[in-house]
Amino acid sequence: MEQIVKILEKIKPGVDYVSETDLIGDKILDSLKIVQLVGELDDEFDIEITPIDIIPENFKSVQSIYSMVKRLEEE
Amino acid sequence: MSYTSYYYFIFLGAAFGLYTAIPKKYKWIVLLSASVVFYLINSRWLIIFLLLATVSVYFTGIFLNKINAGFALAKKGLEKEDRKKLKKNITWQKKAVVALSLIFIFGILLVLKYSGFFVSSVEFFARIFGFNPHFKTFNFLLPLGISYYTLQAAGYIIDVYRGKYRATDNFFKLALFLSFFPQIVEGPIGRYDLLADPLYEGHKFDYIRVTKGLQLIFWGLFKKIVIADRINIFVNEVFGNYQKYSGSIILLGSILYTLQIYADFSGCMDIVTGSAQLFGVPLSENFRRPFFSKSVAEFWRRWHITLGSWLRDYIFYPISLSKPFMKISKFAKAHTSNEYFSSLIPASFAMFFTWFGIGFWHGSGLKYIVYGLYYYVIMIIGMYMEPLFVRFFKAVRIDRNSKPVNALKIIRTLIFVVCGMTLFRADSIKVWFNMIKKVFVGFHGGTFLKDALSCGMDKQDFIIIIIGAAIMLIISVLQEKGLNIRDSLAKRALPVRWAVYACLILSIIIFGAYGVGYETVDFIYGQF
Amino acid sequence: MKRKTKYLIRFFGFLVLILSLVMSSSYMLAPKDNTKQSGIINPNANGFYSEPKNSIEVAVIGNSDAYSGFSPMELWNNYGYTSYVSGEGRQTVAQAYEMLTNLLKNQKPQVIILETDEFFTKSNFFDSAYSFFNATFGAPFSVFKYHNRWKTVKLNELLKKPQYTAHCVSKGQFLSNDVKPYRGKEYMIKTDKKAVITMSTKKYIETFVKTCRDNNVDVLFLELPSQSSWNYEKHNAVNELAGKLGVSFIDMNIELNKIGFNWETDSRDGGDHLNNRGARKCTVFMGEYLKRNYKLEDRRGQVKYKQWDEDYKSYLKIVKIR
Repeated sequence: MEQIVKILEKIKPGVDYVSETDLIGDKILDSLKIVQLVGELDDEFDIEITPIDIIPENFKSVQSIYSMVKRLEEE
Repeated sequence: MSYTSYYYFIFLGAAFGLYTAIPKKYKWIVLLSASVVFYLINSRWLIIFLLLATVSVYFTGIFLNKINAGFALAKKGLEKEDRKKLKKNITWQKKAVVALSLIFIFGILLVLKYSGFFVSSVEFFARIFGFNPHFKTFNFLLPLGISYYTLQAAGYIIDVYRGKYRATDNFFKLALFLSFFPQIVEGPIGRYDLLADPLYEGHKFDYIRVTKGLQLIFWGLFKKIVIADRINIFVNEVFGNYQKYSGSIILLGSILYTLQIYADFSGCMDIVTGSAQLFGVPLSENFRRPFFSKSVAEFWRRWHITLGSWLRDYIFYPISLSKPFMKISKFAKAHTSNEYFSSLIPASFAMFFTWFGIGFWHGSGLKYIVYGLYYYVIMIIGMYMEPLFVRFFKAVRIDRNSKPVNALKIIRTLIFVVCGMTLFRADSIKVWFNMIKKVFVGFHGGTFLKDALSCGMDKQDFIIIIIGAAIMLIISVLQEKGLNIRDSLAKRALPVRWAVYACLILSIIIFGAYGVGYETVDFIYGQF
Repeated sequence: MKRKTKYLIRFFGFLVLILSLVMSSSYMLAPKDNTKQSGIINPNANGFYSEPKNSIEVAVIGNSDAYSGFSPMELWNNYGYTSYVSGEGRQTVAQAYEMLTNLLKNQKPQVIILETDEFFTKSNFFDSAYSFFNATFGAPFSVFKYHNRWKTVKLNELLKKPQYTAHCVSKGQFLSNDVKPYRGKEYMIKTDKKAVITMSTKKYIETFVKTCRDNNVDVLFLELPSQSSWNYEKHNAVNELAGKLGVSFIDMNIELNKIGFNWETDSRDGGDHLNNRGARKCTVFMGEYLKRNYKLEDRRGQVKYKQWDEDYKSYLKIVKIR
């Protein structure tokens, strides 16, 4: 989980990612940042995030990103 | 049958009456029949193209369902190695079948809408090499809404391929999704998973819902008939004869056109969303106070939202997250010192295609492609200069998100947008350059007031536009703060509510730009 | 109270409110006179409102062909018949019907002539329905026609009752001394083919004729010379309809020699509309027909109609067709 927070802070610093519950709705992550984030996550966790995973539910909080990553690691 | 014609409202009333009378189970059939009738009235035999698209996407979906079902059964009895092989095999099958379908429906769109452009492009390039071919071009009649329903159909089949939902077994239900009459002419571009249930489940009469829909329709009519159609006279005059006018008038014309296209398009969206609401079908938001945007990127998330989100989900993400582009990014990261820039590379490529797409979708012509790429260039420059901006603001110790800085950002965005809209409306790229040049080189503010009143609008017309724009602004500010106008109106006392609604309706009747001296103005976005 | 009833009452209540507001604004924004400055659409066509009550013996209703090609002043000078021509550019038959009902409010002519060029004018359903509605109910929703008057209406006008003070010397005729000849081919080539008059147009024509007859007014169909918009196919169609309705039909396009009509001198725009000379010739011809078939009164010399002599003098000053 901390790895995810570190990646997020690298892409967009100055946000309290631990307590944020709506990264998409609160306009913290836009489509460009999502692409950057996906690149980092794919690298870090050796997974393959595809467009079908790019839904608000998966990216709205660190917790949801973590769940998505865990799910993709198992596949 | 324009959405502002009397015919449309008779049609809508009849459809609504029938919908209310028929039992819940069959209500969706009323919507389908109404949509088919609507399409036949507007496009006649061209309905065959809509039919072809529906058939193609329907059978592809059924086929995908079959493949998936077959795979689910087969994989149970297999080892991991064989399972992987089988999965690869069927993935290839699924890809092929979807690709064929997409080529088919986009092929129809390209031929009908863009063949003239292709032919003239080929002729243009041939001339560079010394040849002078002249191909016969056909001016095809465009089926109603082809730019919209093609994208909807493509989105549907790609979603099914991605496993987002199962394809529907019911051909007619799919046909309703693609042909639903409030959205067929100008969108919003709908997603199947959001529209399926509301379209098919049928909603019984609900006075509150119906009156809310009617209020929205009247608000849209106000924007279109009182504001947009009134500005049209001025804009037509200035853009049609720009050589006659000073730079100050051209600037005014561009600003007014931006206001016109907003009132026209968002007004239409209100009419169609209100219409769909009568039947309990919620259409996706297409405008979210776009002129409050602090950047061009944000503008395209607030203007024509469903087009932007379609391109994002079906062009931008697939390209930028595709293996080849991720590889390029990794390569760049490893080999350049700047991590930030290298992470932007896949996005930059994908953005190019997205913005090319936005431009190209709008029209068959170089002007539209340049329109899209104009915004692309602005955004790319902004993106790559981002670290510089961060350093600048740190150095001058100003908060980037303070109110004054945000205000400047909004003004800057408005300037970009008005400039872009000028290109959109101008007859050609060359004319656009000339017009911009005049704004800077031949401004001539001296006789501005006199000139402004001799372009077809008199003082009272300007007063109406200013008041209308002020009303739109106040409502937008309230909405930006989270207020739902119709809901908060509903809470007020009856005399207040009725006074507001009556004023709205009477304003349309009295101040509308219709009748003697006005020509009917087609919806701007109905031609795409 | 049950919810359904509550909503029904509310809905109709609101509807009543809107209808009353539309009717009040119609009253307030309607022109209060029939002069050009009053903002009335087609002031010349509506000049009959200010003619003395029941003073018109012959009325002509039609489109721009009618107001260009019929001359009440010539009819007065040659026969002493009082007439008025209420023509509106691109008039539809539904609008003609509306004009008829307005005319009958203060005039009782012996004969009304309907110019048939407009039998082939396309009209959309709503515009026609609006005209018919106005004709039947006295234009309570005229705001749709006159809403633009919000720009020019004066505050003290809003509640005034209309008073008609315009005086049209030419009695509705559009005076033009321009001469632009028609030198093209023969356009009335005999054929058996028939042009199509749409169902809805026929319905309005029938209503027009019936209303005239209900008011003891005789009705005639007339087609003034018009090369650009007339041909033998249309002649056949109108002839057939006229026969069915028992209405006499005079097609001047096949009587050009009898009228002494000359495409070289009698048109102001190359064959579409007539000029003053052409209008005189046609009106004189029409006058002969009226003399033979009707018992119209020659009012020349009557004190009550002295104004017509004055008007004729003014007419002569404008018109140059010696």
